[in-house]
Amino acid sequence: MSRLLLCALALLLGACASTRERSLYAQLGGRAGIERLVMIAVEKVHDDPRIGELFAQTDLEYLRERLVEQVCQLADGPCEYTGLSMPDTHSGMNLSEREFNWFVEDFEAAMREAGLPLAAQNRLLARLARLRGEIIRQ
Amino acid sequence: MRVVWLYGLLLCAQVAGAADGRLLGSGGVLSVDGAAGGGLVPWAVIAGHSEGREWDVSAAASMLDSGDYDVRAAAVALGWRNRLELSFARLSLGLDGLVERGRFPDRRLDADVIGAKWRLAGDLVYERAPQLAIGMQWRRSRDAGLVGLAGAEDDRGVDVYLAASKLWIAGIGGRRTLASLALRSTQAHQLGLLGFDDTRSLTLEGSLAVFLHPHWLLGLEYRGKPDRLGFAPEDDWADLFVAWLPDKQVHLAFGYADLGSVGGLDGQRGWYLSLRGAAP
Repeated sequence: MSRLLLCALALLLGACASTRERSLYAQLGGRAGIERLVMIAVEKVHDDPRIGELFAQTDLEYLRERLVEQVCQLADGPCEYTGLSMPDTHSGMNLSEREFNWFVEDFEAAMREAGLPLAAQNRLLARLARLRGEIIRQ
Repeated sequence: MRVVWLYGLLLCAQVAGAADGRLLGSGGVLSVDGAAGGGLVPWAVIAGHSEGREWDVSAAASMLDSGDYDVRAAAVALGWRNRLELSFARLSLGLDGLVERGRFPDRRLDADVIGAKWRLAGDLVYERAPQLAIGMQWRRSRDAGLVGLAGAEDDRGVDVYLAASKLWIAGIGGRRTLASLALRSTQAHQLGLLGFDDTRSLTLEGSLAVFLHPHWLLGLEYRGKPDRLGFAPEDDWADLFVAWLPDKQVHLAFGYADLGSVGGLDGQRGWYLSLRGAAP
């Protein structure tokens, strides 16, 4: 049994070694990759019966542009987010934890569809997740 | 039969409740004791995927064959608003190895576990600090006479545990990684299947699990156990498991567990399988 455990640990740690060299921005496919990802994500979110309504009044083109900037900046790319602060954009929406999670699920599905490597998906998601406190309950 | 009953209950709940508010897998599976977590160890998570005003019901059937014994567990757990978990589990230990050696009458030893878990603070995924929960498990042997003869001082006991769990979205190898620790005060011999002691022991339990893929979880667990039953030493338990989570309703866990010495027979280890369903 202990040998089995050691073997599993070695496997887990072995997986760490790779995939750290390239920047997240490069792993996402640069500006073009991010634009494609955001296009898919906005469509998914908009079509999601659970949260689509939240975007009913949204200018989707404007949303896409700001999201591209934001993802690019979060991925250490050469962009600057030019939109309102997170609390300001979501002010008055009183988004719940559930709605945030549903957005995350749609965003993950979009990353999968865009064919991003799982480690890159998770690194981006981890950075987006840090914004949660400025997004929900505003 | 029990399993049919459990899934019947799930069907009823399917009509009533619907919980979809948390991320896939954030409720773990149901452990043999009924608490949400890994297969053997409770995590600080609330069973199911409830968030906000949601609630849901999970049910699981598990079985393990260790050579001389088999353990079966049926469990059901209610998760309420990602805050409270109420659970019930029936454990059943088959004693073929002891019966064949003429050391025990030909029957199974059963125990019930009623559990409650309260999320004290934190969020498994989104906060820097781990999610914390406190839990209690009221355990009762259904074979008081037999466990008394086997040397247990009591036929019932209460566990109290404090659990801390944390999930890193980009953890080991960029994979979602969960680590969990629980500190338990218990009186139980072998989860209560072999009765209870009058005095309490403090034990430590832990899990480390990695989502190799969004739907596949690989994990290790360790459950410290007391060793206070005179006639038979009791060892810590450990296991290695793979869980498949195709969606928020169905989770299937498959593992290899080492139970050490049980009821005087050493080297008890073997495969286990656990199927969990949730409503909706």
